[in-house]
Amino acid sequence: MIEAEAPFAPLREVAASATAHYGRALLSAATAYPKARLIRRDFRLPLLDMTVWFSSARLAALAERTLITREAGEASTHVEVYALDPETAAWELPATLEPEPGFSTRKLEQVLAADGLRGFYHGESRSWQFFDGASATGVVSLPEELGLPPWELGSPLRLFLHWGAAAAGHRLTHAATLGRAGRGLLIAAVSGSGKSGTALAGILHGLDSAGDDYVVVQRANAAVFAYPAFALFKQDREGLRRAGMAERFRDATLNWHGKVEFDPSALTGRTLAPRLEIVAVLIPEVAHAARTAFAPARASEAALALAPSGVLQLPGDTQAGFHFLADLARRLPAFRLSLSEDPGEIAAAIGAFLAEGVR
Amino acid sequence: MAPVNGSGRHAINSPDVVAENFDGQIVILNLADGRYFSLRGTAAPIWSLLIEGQTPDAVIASIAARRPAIADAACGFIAKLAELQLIRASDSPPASGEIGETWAEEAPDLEMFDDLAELIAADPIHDVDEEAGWPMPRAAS
Repeated sequence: MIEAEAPFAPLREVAASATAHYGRALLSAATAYPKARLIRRDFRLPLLDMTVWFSSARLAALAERTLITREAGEASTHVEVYALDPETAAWELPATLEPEPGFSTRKLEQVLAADGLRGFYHGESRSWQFFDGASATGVVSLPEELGLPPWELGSPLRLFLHWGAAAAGHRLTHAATLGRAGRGLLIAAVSGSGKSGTALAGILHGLDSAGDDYVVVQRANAAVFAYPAFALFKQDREGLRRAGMAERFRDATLNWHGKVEFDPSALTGRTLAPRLEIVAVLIPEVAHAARTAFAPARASEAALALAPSGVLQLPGDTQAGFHFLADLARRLPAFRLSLSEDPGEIAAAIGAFLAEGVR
Repeated sequence: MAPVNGSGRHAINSPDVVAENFDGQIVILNLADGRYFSLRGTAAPIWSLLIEGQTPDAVIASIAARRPAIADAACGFIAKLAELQLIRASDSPPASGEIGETWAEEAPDLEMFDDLAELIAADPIHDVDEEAGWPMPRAAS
């Protein structure tokens, strides 16, 4: 094992205690990299401007295909990110993290936070992501061009969106959305409760959505707004069958999680809603009910639906994230949503719920 | 796991444990192991009094004086909080004020959710099995 040495020495393995040093070395090397050899892309994301310098044209194209260009709201912050790999740049192979009993993503978060950094390491892909909040600069160090963790191929750079949003007081939030005429609902629940299926049912039957998995949430005085972050929806084959979409996606390839990723606008002819004013939280449950039904839920139930998965799946700013999502749960009325099996009926019920207003 | 010091002060086991009070219902998240909890009934005031600095002995004595039927359950609940590492011993002196809680009849209720614990156990920092996946377990279908 070699200890990290500034500015950037090739490393085969980095000790847990040296991860912040390694992150700073990568940031320093990335920002000094000749920009003429990189591909610049400027993303106008929800509430955030992000300039990314890619060494890989394929990764740049992937990001362009999956990240949303904002149509509403103003950017409150700007971040700059460098994405480099040894296949397409004069860049060292990322070091592996030295195995250390008890060291975890949570511990890494704490080690890095003490140095003003956010970061993430994925052992299987041997990829690192670091973000320095003070300079709003990040680096993605990959072993190969598309060597991201598999779940990020559908949402590349999502951690920088998360860290950038958090730095500005917003939050990348694990929830689906449905809406109409600018008013919307956050749909949050544990995996398998019908969250993304409800979003798909809604958009197929005339409702708007800002996303089926993650949205950027902004608190603005008393109001809460949700903005789209990623252009693609995801659904497993059973969910597509329930929505009547099985044949259309019969030959589609599955992502790492066994789901089909698709552009919802290709199904509906409508783009994602640029912004929804959120008026309630829905907590769905697959109830096989004859009719979709709503029942008032406590704020604590909304917090249980929103906070744990939303915090644990996004390393960095975890404590602040928990309190942000708890605040959302207090601000917004919450309802349990007992789902029927009829996508059209589900969408109609949610549309009526929105139209009649939320008390 | 060390037994609870009945005469000592305790604190929330921060920074790994975070909690919020929703009108008397407490939601707790352990960032280190991914488990999360809902405290209802008398569990919530017991938690709040402990975090405010009352000792376990003082809390149990207050319950025993007003609702003796749930005193044993309250003892077990406080031990469970320590076992789950949601609270830890604190060096600060205990609170000295009297406990004004009148206590409801229902026993403390701690509901634990571990659906995300697998996510933390399959930490992506290590080489994870593709079947285990991260950040979510692979869908069954």
